[in-house]
Amino acid sequence: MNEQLEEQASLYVLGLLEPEENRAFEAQLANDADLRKHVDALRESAANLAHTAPLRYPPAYLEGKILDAIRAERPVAAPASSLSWLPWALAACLAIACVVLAAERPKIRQEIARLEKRDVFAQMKIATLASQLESAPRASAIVVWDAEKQEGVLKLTNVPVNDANRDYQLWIVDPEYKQPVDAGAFHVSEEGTTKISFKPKARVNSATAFAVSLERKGGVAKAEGPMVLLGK
Amino acid sequence: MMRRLVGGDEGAFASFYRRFAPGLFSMIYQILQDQKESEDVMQEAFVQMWKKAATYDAARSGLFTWAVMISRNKAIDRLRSRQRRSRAVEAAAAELAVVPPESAKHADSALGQAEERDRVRAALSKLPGAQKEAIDLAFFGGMTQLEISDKLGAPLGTVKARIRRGLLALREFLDPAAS
Repeated sequence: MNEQLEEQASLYVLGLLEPEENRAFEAQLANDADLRKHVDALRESAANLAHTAPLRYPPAYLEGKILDAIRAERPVAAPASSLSWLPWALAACLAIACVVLAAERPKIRQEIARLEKRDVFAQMKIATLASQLESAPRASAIVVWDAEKQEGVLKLTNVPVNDANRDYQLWIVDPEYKQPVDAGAFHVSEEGTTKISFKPKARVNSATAFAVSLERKGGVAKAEGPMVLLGK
Repeated sequence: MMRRLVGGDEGAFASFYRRFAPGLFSMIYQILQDQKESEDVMQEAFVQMWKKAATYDAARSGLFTWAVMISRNKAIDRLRSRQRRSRAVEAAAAELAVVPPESAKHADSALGQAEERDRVRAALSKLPGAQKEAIDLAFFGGMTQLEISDKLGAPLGTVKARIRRGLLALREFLDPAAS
């Protein structure tokens, strides 16, 4: 295979060909089995690039939302002519299920534990917050937010120590509210790493970003001070 | 699994979702850099997979590849429609350097995907920086050839050659037997 064709194949799998080039290439593809094989192999390699994205779990509720959406797409099945057999069939299934459950209980328990563990991570959002301060460029934070429990943990690193009359305040941006939601004021009295648990003052359904500002002691209802950290 | 999906088996679809959702959502988010839009695109992509399950050809691609290509196309369409390409790419490039926190690593491992990620990341790290950059901009940035050329300050021919060499090398690293 010549270099030009290889190049076209690479650009094709990444969707980089212009519409005209794309049409011409697809016409060639339809008549060339070797080229199709080459394109398929390149596509497999390109798809693997998806693995290089930082891992981010979809929220737990999305699965249910998507299942609802596909149900709406589903053609309606024709009703059965008679359902008189149904109670008997259900009873038979239940009897079989009891036998299977008794034999498989340890395995099922393990599976439930695994699913519970997975769901714990699925409902969490993890955000990295970067410094907005020229005077402290190394300041950073990680937020782990559990949307279901409505609580989270903020881990701060290299954030400047507060003056006695100042606190930092965490804010959660949720498009449902005009103003960021107050997630509490806290004091940093030591250099290094500080870990804080927080709960927002109002329910947060969609945490799209997190921010930390510098405020007066005890915190404020609406952010006034300079932004210290920001991330999503 | 696909046979059951084509037959309208909702349980099979739920398994399919759980198997691929984290990987696909990570990719979609990397492209869009927006939680809400990523969720919308994820939903559109899975609905399309459900509707088009019958068109999947196992002889031509793996299931993950098929799902990635559908999801990526949806995400790129969304990205182009809102025309904030450069901002997302810069954020994506910055985030590529971020090491996931311990909890995420643990969860990743629990889902049995860590090994695959490591393998692809190791393969990608063997590519020359210029090739990797051009491929990243195309795959996650949804840029055109000309836009990549402008962004990198490299002639169009050079960009095309980098993408060709990069993808061929990636294929060789990931599947030496096939090359």
